[in-house]
Amino acid sequence: MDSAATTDETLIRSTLSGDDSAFAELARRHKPKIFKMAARFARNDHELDDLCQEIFIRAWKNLAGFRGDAPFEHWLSRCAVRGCYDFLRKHRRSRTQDVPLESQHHELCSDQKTDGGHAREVLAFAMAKISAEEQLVITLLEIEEKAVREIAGLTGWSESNVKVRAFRARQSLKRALEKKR
Amino acid sequence: MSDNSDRQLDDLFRASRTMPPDTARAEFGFETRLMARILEEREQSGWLAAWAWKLCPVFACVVVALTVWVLGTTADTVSDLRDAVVGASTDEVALAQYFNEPNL
Repeated sequence: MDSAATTDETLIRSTLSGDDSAFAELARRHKPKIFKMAARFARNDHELDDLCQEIFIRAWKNLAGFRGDAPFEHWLSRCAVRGCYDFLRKHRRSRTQDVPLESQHHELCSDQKTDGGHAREVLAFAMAKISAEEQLVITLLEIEEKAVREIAGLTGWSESNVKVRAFRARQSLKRALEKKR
Repeated sequence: MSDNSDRQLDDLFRASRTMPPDTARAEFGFETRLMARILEEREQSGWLAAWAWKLCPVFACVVVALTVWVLGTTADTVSDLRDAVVGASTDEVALAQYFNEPNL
């Protein structure tokens, strides 16, 4: 199979016919974007790997439901957002003292410890204080720089719901940062 | 103070955006681990389906037995019900005839 010429739709059809290597190729193609998003929520490499596996397993199980109205990447992004949300809800109680993956990585690079690295640690600390819904919305809006409409499409929430959650998230983060001082 | 907090928060977000996470380590060998997990999921769901097929005859026997039992009890109930209605109407007719007798 010539990878360059094989479209996502062809790989999906092959996967549904029972060809596992087709799904492995799909995962290889799309994992950078999924890992980048999931890394905003995972606390270490182990959690990141687990989270990404959950996302792709969810996609594999629901692959027959992909209608092809939009690119596969958009559909997979929706699976990823829902996976990240479930992850946040599941791990919420144990998150208050932990620091996400991206901050840990930059802590290890001591010669690169910049104001940016410190800023991310502070943000990670504050993020752990807010609800899963608020954390998801504010991360997608402010860090991933997605539009409100896009976030609404990815989460299944209304645009007004997204805006309210984003506003509350900012208020909560500001309170958390003020307490930290 | 509110402006200061907003500015600080925006600075924090900007810093997070400009330093993207490095996921190369976690991505290494991901497809292999994923496919092993998928195989495990498939084996588990296959096991459930196999047991479901084996239990089908048992469920079929239970359904047949239940049907026979329900029909049996329903027939007795209908017969009792019919007798009660007929009996009642017979008594009612007798009562009506009694009150209609010219001697009363």
